[in-house]
Formats: sequence, structure tokens, C-alpha cells
Amino acid sequence: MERYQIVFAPNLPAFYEASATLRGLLAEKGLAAKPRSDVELAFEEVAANILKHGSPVHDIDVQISFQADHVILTFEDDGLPFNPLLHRDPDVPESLDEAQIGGLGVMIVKQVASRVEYSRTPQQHNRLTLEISV
Amino acid sequence: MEVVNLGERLVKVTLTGRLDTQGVDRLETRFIAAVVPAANNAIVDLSGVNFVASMGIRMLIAVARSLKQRQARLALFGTTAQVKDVFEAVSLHKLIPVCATETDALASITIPQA
Repeated sequence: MERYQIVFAPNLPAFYEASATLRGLLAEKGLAAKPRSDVELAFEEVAANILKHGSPVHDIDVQISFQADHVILTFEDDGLPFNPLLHRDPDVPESLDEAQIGGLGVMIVKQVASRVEYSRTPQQHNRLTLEISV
Repeated sequence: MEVVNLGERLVKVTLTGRLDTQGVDRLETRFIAAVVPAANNAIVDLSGVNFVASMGIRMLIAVARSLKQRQARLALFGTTAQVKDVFEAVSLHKLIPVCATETDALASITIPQA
């Protein structure tokens, strides 16, 4: 098992740089195309959600652990409490007029992750763990 | 991004790269400007897009909706593997035609609506 950590400030340029760092790491690990894009997607959706809705003050901490048959991503941030497991998926809209442009990110995360765990830490941080099969 | 005029109020837009937060940030304003104000019917070539996230889907839905309000339409074609998977995960085809070829995309926006 190998562990890595990506820490970034809660702003877009830092987020973009963190995404590029993750992509570099995934390329180095030689993951197949599908698990690689699943990990990228999980990172993108969770990090974007924290920045857009969480109003975190301090750095966002992401631990990445590579195991034999899955990658585990653990996000910790000091933003507003948000438990995606309590978030109902948007109904699949039948037309453009009624389509809600929101909630898609959480829906995508739940589809790419085989396991999702959420806790609010004693320090009042969100801790979200995602397991992605490789 | 490349825009080619195919006829009266009809354009082909070629998007390339990643449609994630950063990619959308980079091209959303230009994409909207290319199709929405003129109410152009648009087919969008995604064969050069290798990654899409919810931000990209949101942009496509928002543009398709703005066009619909102006009696114009949007259709997508040329989805690569990852893009196809994510579109299917959110059932995007229920909102926007996702076509196999450019010809199919053109047909889907030029056939008169009931």
C-alpha cells in the first residue's frame, strides 16, 4: 500500500494545480484508463463541491492510498457540514425546462465510488472517504 | 474551441480538452457567445474531449436550455469513452441528443419539431 497527500488552499488556482498533481500521480501509477478517470472524477467533483458550497477557511487535505484492487481517497476540509450520503439524487428530468442544474456532482461521485463514508470530526471538519475499484 | 458556420443559423462547435471546472472556466463564455445571442442551432463535436465532469454537463444543459428558449437546438456527437460513461450515468440523452455521428447530430436538430 502506498499513501500520498495533496494539500491545497481553498481557491481555484490551487485547486487546478492540485488536479494536475493528481493526474501526474495517476499517470505515474500506471492505472488503466477507466479507474484513472474515475479517481480524477471523484477528486474533481468533491473538491469543486467543497470550494463552491463549503466556504472552507483552511487548506483542503486529500489522502490518496493505492491498494491492490482499489484506490482510497480521503478528503478533509473545515467547510460547512455536508454529508453526501444524506443528499438525495436529483430526479432524472424529462425535459430541459424542468432540468435542475445541480446535484449532478454528488450523483456522479456515488456512481464511481464503491464505498462512501462520511464523518464530522471532533475538530468540526468534514471527512469523506471514497473507495474506487481499480 | 472552433466554430464553423454550416448555414443560416447553423454552426458546428468543436470543443477540445477537459470539460472539468478549469476547462469550463476557460471556454464557457466563448461557447455561449458563439451560439446563444444569435440563437444558432448547434452541433457540438466532442471527439477531442477526453474528460467530462458535472461542470461540463451543467454548461451543456445551460446552453441547450438557453437555445430552446430561443427556438434553437443543440446536439452532441463524437463522445469518447469516459465522456460516454458519464453522460450515461446522468442520462443526459433525455435532455440533449447524444449522437453517434455528425450526420445524425445534424439530422436531430434539423428535423422539424412537433
